[in-house]
Amino acid sequence: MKQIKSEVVCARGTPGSSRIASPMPRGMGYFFVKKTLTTAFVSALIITVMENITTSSTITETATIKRGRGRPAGSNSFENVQIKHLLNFLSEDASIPVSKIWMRDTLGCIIEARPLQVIKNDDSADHHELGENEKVEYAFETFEE
Amino acid sequence: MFDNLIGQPEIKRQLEFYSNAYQKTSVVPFLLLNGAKGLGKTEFLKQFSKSLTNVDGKPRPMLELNSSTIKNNQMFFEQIFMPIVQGNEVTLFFDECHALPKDLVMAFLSITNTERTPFKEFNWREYTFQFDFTKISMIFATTELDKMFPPLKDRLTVLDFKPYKTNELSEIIKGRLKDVDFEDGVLEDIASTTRGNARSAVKRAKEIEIYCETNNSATFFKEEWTNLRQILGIKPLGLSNTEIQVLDILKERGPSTLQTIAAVTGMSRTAIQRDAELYLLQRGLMKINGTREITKAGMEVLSEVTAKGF
Repeated sequence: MKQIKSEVVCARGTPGSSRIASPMPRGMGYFFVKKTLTTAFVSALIITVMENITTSSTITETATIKRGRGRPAGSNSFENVQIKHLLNFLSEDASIPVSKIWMRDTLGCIIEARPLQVIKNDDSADHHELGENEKVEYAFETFEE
Repeated sequence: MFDNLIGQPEIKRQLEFYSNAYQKTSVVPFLLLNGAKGLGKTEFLKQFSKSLTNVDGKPRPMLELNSSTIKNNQMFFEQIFMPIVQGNEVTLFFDECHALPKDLVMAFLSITNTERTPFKEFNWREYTFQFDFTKISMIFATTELDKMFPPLKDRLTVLDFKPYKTNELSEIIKGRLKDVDFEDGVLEDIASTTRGNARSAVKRAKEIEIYCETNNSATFFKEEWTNLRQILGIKPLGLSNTEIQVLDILKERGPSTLQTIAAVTGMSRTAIQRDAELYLLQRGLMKINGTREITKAGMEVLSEVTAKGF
């Protein structure tokens, strides 16, 4: 933002332009000339600064590339990350923000915010090491009088 | 079929329908009994299983399994299916089935896929298991339906149990205490402390039975009920100490946030929501309108607690 403004100032506001020298009356003394030049220079400087401010805002509003606002072209707020890498930092129960549009387009559905139990189709539970005394608790009712 | 069980008319109708259908088809659909604890899921299922007759004319035995103790397929097939179920006619009842292990849930997805025929073969490791659903009935029960794996839930027929009404709870208590007479209004007051829960009603009946036996009393008056409440700390509407504490906070501090209640009680927000607020909201003792507020009914209950010293 600063860089853009300074470029504008250099292009339009160079001191010593025709505006400064033009109103010089003839036959005046050196002192008058010096004073007039000084006054004119200050006035010109003020005009230039004012012009720069106006020009700067005009450029910002009308230029085809809206610089200094929003996402720069080519940049992206998101990164593609593999779930396995995320799981190094998060537990399986962690909630992560996901766009509803992404869900709709990619998954074909929108999942409610309520945690959904997802069961992987693998046999990892099968590898649960059974202790010697691990028994299924059950009661058997035969209904015999 | 359910003459000795009180309440749950809808469940009775549904189970009677499936029992009658079984007489013709020899197959029972995969049922999932859903409801809070103490609503009688197991009792109703026992009666249902009893009504299913096997080929030998005897009632079908019921194997009630605590699902959380089944850690994997190996435990189920080696300890339950092969020694007890295979080749026999039996009802398998998976209690608290939301706690079933992942791999068994996946196995049940295949096993319960019986749209065309009531027979299913399931391969596990080097074994092949035969599921003949004319001989095996598989019934599930849970208190936490939201924790069920949705595809499995979709394959089961869900029967929802409802809380008991006060008159049904009175009937349950009276049914357990046939030799005791109650003063007018006492039975309803007792029932109101059981929180719509049949198991609590049975428990309360047991407490009254002990009290009457101890005092050699055949009639239960209001005074005796008040006395018993003070002895056992039975609060109005069967409120717990935590619930009373939450009401107290709301009365003292005015409208409060959940965070404030959590900070004052020292409990987690989840525990307060689950263990206290649910019943208070259900009974209209508090309301949530941005913040938590005590209602007029809540104030009355608190006054009763203070006045009677429960």
